[in-house]
Amino acid sequence: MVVAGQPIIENLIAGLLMGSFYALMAVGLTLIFGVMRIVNFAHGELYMLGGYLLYYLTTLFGLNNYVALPIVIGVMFVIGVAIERALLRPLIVEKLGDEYSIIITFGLSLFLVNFAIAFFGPEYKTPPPYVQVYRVQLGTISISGDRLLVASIAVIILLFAYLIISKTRIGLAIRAAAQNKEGAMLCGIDIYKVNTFTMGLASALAGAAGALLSTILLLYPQAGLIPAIKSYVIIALGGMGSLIGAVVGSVILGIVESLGTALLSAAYRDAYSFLVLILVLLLRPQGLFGARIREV
Amino acid sequence: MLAQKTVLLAIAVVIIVVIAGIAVYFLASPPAGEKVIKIGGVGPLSAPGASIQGIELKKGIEIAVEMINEQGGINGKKVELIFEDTQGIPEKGKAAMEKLILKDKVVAVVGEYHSSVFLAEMEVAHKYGIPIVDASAWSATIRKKQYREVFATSPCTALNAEHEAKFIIHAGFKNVLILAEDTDYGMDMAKDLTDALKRLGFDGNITTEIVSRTAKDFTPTLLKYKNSPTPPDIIVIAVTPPGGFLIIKQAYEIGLIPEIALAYEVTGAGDRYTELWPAVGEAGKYLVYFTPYSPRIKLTPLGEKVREMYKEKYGSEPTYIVFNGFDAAWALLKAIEKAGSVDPDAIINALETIELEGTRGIIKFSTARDPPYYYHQWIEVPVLTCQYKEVNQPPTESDIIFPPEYATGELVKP
Amino acid sequence: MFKISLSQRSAPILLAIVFLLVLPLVVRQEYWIYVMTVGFYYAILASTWNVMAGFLGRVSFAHAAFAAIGAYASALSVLHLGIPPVVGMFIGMAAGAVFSLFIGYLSLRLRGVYFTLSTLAFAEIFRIVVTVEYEYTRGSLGLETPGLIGGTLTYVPYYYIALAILLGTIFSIYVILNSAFGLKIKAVGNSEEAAEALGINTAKVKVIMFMFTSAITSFAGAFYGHLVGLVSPEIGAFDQLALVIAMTVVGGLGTLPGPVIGALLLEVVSEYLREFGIFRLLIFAGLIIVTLRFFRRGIYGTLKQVIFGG
Repeated sequence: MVVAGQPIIENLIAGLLMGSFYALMAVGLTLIFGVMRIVNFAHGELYMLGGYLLYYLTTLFGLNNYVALPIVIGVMFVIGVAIERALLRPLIVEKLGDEYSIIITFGLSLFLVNFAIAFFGPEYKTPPPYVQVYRVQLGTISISGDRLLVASIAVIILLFAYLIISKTRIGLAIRAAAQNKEGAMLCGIDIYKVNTFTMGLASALAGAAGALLSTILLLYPQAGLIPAIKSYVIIALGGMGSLIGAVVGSVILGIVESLGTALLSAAYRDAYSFLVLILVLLLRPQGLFGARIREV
Repeated sequence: MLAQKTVLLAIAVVIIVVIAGIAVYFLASPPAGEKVIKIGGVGPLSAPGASIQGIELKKGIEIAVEMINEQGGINGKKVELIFEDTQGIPEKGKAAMEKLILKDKVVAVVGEYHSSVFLAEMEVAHKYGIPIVDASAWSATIRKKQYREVFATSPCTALNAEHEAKFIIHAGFKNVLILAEDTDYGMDMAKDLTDALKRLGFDGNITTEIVSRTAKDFTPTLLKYKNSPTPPDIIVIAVTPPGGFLIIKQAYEIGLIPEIALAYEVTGAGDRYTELWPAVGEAGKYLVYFTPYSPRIKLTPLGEKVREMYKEKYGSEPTYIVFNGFDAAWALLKAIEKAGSVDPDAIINALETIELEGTRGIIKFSTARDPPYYYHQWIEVPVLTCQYKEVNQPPTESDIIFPPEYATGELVKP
Repeated sequence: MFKISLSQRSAPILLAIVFLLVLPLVVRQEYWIYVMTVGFYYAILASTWNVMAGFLGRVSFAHAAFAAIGAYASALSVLHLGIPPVVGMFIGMAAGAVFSLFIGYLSLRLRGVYFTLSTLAFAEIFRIVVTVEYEYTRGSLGLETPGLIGGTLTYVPYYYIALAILLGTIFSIYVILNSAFGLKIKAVGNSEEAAEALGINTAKVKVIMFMFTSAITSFAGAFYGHLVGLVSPEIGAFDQLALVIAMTVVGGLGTLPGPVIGALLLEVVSEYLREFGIFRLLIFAGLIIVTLRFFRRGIYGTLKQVIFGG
């Protein structure tokens, strides 16, 4: 089906696929905000680390992608925990203001990017693909085979995360803490454990996104910067702290970018997400599903 | 109590300040010694500059300096290279030049990869009348300013566009699509190529589309052209990696290349095969690419020597940037030798009249002022169009298909 | 009228100022004068960033972008309107004020993080516009611009102008902070909710200070453009922002002399660290993290604590 010369269905599918990747990152980010009330500006670098971990596991150790992926997820979880303990713990203990979490995660982001440049090298790397199928033909529609598979894996991981949050005890604790921190503490929930676990989970999800996407897109030290910025837009759009918002926002952004590029100018492609952000801030700061923001 | 502590603080600050002042003054004094000839090197060795290329550039220049010292130096004096990291930032380029010229007292400068940085650097060179040789900054603007002190062995965007236009016409393509990145490099490239095609009498269709350099998904744009009633038969990709590589891969995924059109990569990244093949896979078969160098090009004896030296030191094939660095430095060093003195004017005059063997041909600098980008440029700098005919093919095996005098094979379509 | 007491507290500061004034006469190396001038530029940027982040608790990621706005506005108006660069600098300042009013009004009413995000969005949009609209901005190649003082071969005049702007900036911040309005600023910085409860219009305070600091930043950016002679997107790049933040944090977030110390120190150190190329930013990032985690008030703050105890 072609409208005004643009193959709409192919673009929609492309948008949906990208949306699933964005969702992995956005969900983690919104979780962190919901529970810890901070925006993690190093989130993009967690994505990047996940990608490099996969790369080295598959090329240096010769592991199969499917074996390496769970390892990456595990390692990234641990890294997330370490970050929370080392850098973010004092923020809660000493009741420091917003600016400290922003600056310190920014510093972490800077550190990780330059660490990657110095020790992994600035060249572009591509890990081996999950599947060697470049084209899948469905009738008249051509889709990238590996993209389709990787997006499916992303959706499965998202479902796992959803199960963890909705069906386990720690998930319950997370939801309680996100709703009302003091209330949760009063119920005896160990808020420190919840924070640590949340950070670990979010880091694992971002790392998974990196491990999946790096086989399709190129991997390089600054690879996380742009996905991170899009994630900020998504959580603002969806509502900071709302999981449904993160997923819905991801899909919307993926499609908007796809169609916007096809129908309007391709040069300003990256700017669309920012325009979306500004519109959100102007019209509905709490996003689609977020709680009403107390204006200060 | 407070007074005592304040006095302490004041004394501490004064001591620190005095020490710093002495240190600064001390370090700021010019070093002594006239038994070496010092030349300055500039290039990006760290972010946000393109550090891979900068490091290669430095290696090329270092080999030139090493080679001339092995031959006894210039008129008996050893050559010392002082290389400054300009980080891809014009302000740092300027600082580097000030340091090299005033503090280190170099007699000339060579290098640079980023055009914007070189533009800042050449102003400083011009201010002090010190010669500077452009090793790998392609912008035509640099040449068009026609500063006496500025020479270029580097390829130039306008010259490259001429080459590419000639190839397109020679190969018989009729419907050209230029995908250009949304930077001045991309848009200038598109304009230069379009102009060159028209000037050379191309009678086919030319379309230009500007795309975002940092986008991850070009499929919508590519689909638009695939499904149009007159799809292109050649797609000129003026988008640097990662975008450029992604375009190739995604165009293949939707079936646009290689059956409907061939991809022509013109940013010079086509020969970065260690990054290209993992990124594009099957999509790279039949890829045509512009390159300032191919390992299969007939090198001069000097060029072979440089290649051997590089392989011995670093264990891999040199890229064209290494040769660019070498040629620029070599031309400079030979000119200093010819001038017989380190006086800047003498060196400049020597550069204008010198003809010497470089790594890929005879280097000489034009003094023509029309077209404006010819001035002090090595016009004959060889540039090539090659094609990968098999997946994972390295540049040591791919064919040079244009210009005919260097060609090792013909253009192949699926 | 306010009183500047010539107490023993201000002695070291006056000493430092005198030292800086005399420096070019003692050290006649153009290179170092140039480096110090650039250092002053960073000191101005760090000081203004510190007002928002350190005193008001609002982190802006658009700081470098404002410097770039000033630089481009000045360069473009000099190029197309034929005005002298000095006037261009004031146009740059005005541009900064206008844009900051827009962003500030949009996002300073909301929670802290929203402000940061919108400054990030603004900075990115600006960067994209500069590269895409290269017909006007010459994109990454850079826009050439005449020097502030035509026909001079030495950087000494630039040094003194930069120093003057820096001293003016610090002085005005000092005056503002010690005024009645300054009390409001401190209140807002302490706790916005409490300030609101006291009847302070926190949004107005924040927007005014944001405009003030952005205007100065743009002014400094315009100066920088005329110093280097080339206005390119690097001025507003992420790395420049990172450098400014590192300088402020290491020097002392929330203190007055901190950012200046941090800026001059890191700029000089950065020239020496040129050898280490790749590791330079890594070291600075590490400094940000370590300082913020363990020495919250930076060099100046820690020194003050050690010596004055408290």
